[in-house]
Amino acid sequence: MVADRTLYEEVTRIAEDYLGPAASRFIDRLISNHLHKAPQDLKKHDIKELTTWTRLAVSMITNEEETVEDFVERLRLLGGK
Amino acid sequence: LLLKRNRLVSLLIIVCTLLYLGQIIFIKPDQAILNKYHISVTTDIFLALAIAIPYVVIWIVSLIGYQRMDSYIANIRGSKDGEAMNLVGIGILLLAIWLPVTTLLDSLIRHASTFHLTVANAVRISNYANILLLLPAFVICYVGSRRLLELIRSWRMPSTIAYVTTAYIAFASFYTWLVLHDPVRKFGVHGVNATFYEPDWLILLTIVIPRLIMWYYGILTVYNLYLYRTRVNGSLYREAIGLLALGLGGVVSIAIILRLFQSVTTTLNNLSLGQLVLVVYILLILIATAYVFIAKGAQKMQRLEEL
Repeated sequence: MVADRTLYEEVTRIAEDYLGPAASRFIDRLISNHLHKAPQDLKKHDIKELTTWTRLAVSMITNEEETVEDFVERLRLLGGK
Repeated sequence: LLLKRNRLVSLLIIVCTLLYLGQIIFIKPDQAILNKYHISVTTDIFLALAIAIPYVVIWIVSLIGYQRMDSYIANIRGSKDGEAMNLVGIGILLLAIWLPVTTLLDSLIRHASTFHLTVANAVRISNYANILLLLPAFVICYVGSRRLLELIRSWRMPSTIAYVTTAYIAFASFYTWLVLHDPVRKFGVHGVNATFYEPDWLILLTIVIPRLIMWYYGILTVYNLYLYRTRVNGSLYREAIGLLALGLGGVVSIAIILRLFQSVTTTLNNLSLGQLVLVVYILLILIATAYVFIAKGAQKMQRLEEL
């Protein structure tokens, strides 16, 4: 089942753990505004840039460093090494 | 910025503020009140302003809370949670309007003769306006909160709802008893206005029952939001919902406390001026805290959608 999921779906699932119903909208905005591509076209090599933007954006809504790092780390793992 | 976004609501609050401050400054206070507390007209005006100014600040906070909620809803329109949140937002709008409108109507009682009204009619207008604003506000918030819960997969109402309802039935019986034992519920005595100026059957049918229904919906809204908060995904989103639930819980509590106070007018009437001011300030702090929580929760949700 997990293998059938696209990278975009994996990213959104992780984001849901932090942002709830706002997750897919958040990820869509990051991908289209900062990576300048359609969300479904997200590739492994985009993950690095996506984590940079995620860290920046999420730090603006919470002071919990641990939460931000946890979120970013989980996304980073999706990009491989 | 406030004026630009929601012109009608902002204008309503500006008009209410001007009327509220205007009646304090320009309408001569009741001589009986001045004699009772041994204060001059100037002291009365300063005292009234010392309460009115924080109150107006609270109105502005409630307006900011609503506007943040409105911006958030505009961002999520069309999504599954958008429709449910829109209903909660309409409820919050009515709660933001409720404060200034009912405060103005309460001061109308004080100056009824200036507006060629009998005190009895001014009291009736105030009582029914309160219900007309709060009943739809809490019912709409409840429907919204219920729809939010329905978005959660495998959602079931927990058995604790029975305890909430049981506790509420006990409270409702107590409140009904309190209202029917209020010695000034039908007629005013010794300079104290009556609470309702209605016969008992009309008090029960048109005031007590609607109030008990609207409070119940208010409590259920807070309970639903609490359940939603515990079951929805997203630690940061849950924080925002928690603040919103706390704020709405505060507003429901204040709506209840204010009406409980209304039924013990004779006791409150025996308090000294200092004690009365203290009670008013405690209430103002509670009201301010509740609306600040709503504004904070709405702001957090708005920021989640704007990043």
